[in-house]
Amino acid sequence: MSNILEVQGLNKNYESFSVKDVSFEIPTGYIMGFIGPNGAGKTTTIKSILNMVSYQSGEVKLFGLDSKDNVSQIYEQIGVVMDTPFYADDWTSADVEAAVSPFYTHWDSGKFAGLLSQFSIDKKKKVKELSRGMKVKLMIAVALSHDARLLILDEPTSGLDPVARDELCEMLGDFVTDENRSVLFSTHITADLEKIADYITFILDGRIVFTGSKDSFLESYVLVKGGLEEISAQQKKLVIGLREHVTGFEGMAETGNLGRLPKSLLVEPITLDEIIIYMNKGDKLYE
Amino acid sequence: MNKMLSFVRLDYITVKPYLTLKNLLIFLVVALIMITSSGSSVSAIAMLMVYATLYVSYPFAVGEKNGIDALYVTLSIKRSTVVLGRYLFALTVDVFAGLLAYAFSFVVLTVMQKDFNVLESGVVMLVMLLLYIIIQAVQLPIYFKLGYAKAKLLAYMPFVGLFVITLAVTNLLKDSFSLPQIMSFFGWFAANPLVAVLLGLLILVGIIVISYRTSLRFYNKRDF
Amino acid sequence: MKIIVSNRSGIPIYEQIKAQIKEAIFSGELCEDDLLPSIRQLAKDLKISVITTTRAYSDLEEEGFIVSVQGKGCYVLPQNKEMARENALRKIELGLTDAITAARAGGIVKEEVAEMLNLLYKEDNYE
Repeated sequence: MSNILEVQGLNKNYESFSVKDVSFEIPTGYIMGFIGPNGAGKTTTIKSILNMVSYQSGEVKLFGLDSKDNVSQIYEQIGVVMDTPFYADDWTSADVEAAVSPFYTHWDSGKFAGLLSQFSIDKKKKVKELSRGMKVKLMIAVALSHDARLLILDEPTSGLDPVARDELCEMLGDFVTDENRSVLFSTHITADLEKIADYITFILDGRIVFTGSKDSFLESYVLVKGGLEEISAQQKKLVIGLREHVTGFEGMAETGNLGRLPKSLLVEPITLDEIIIYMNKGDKLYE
Repeated sequence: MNKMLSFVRLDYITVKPYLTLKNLLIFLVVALIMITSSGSSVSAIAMLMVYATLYVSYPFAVGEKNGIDALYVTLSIKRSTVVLGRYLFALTVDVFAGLLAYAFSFVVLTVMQKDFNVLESGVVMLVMLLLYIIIQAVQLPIYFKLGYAKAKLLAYMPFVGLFVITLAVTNLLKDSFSLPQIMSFFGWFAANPLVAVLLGLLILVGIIVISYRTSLRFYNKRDF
Repeated sequence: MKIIVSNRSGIPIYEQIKAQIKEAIFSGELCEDDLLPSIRQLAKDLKISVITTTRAYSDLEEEGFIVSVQGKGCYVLPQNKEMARENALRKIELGLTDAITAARAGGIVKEEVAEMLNLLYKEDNYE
């Protein structure tokens, strides 16, 4: 099984923020969720992968090719969806098609038209007249109309209502029923990924904290809760992002450490959101 | 080459919403007033060239507002294609404006049964064209470096600069050389028009090339 | 065939899938040679990760419940019980054929062989 995307040692410095030594891979045929709090470096990483911004060091391979060469071969196979469309806001859908289709050898006009009607996008409306959800759908329609194999989405669901978000997830699930395609989905709304993601890459403060299978990520942590007297000071160190209050404490613990914690504690499976929250609080790096 | 033309067409689609009939009409009405009031085509041509310069900035203005430079990356349009395409777009707009001005003046003056000196108007149009191409050659690198929003004010500098330079040069010449010397200098060029034209073209091409390479250098460094 | 998974039950999703498929096989709802939904289609329908469905199916294959055919999908295998039964029947047939040959060679009639069979069952309490 080959990798559709490989990032190795990516470093990008801004004045006040850096993305350091970012490495991860996405195998062909799977969905990777790229998660982290706002400002953690998700967009910077994606823009570096796409060569929209320059970076100090690192290697990016797409479809097995170096991202700095074979440029058109690579971009033809990538569909990009950002949180705001980069189309002129006075364009209609017809203008969008006229603008982008000459640059794709496999542009499917019929498919585009079909998707527009499936998404109920009025062809005559200008981009600026579309609702937020419609704008995202328009970008997806474009991304799906040139035979892309890799969809890269950067925060597409922020600002969308649950119905629209669910529709988007459905579409992505559909997209990878073809095992030659993959999705890189960056978001800080992890509920979307909880279910459909196969792999997770977690970035915090510009560094990768975890990258690997979502199931093993979720299985390696648990939520623990208990009374303040139940737990010793020594054991407290095992609780990540410990929150103490008058009525008790809660936090996250590594599943492997459960043996060293009191059996009386309440132990629950953890969600992606909670991992991010407790990790952020504890600011511990996954070793 | 194909990609280049597709890009120029993309630029056109980008500014299309602003090339309205209303704009064109306002354009022609003002030109009409100028021609009828002065009885010559010179001011009309000059005014149209100013308009052309304005339009040359439109792809930058509209594009930047929408982050279209990121779109260019996803369409695998090389940065050099973007820069070259903009220069091509500018040239196209300039030539089109020049010809339109010439033709329009011809029609108006003929209808008014006034004198239309084909050669003189032609020379004026060419000189104006060259002048504004040079102005744009200074403006374009500014747009590429700073982006439209920050460059807006700075982009008027070439006009101001030109004005200042013209003033300074004429004053300088007046003080350092006598009139006959200046006249004989220009007279030489008038007597050898071919050399004059060749020299002028060389300088023009030189300016454009320097401008292009500077723009490319600036644009290559930008992050979107 | 019904496969329904719960995100909140605390049981890993791949275990839930395995349990429900096994249930369907044992109850006869799924028969030998039935084609299961593809790994990817199931993941999409249940809105879960492809890795999860892959794990469920490969566990089931290892345990002998299903078999995956390249390019076609996963098929239900006949149940283990049935396989064991068929195995036993084959072994009995072989054994009996041997016994009959020996009986003929030794001039021993069928009734005697049948009596020996009964005795042997009683002795070893196989009955």
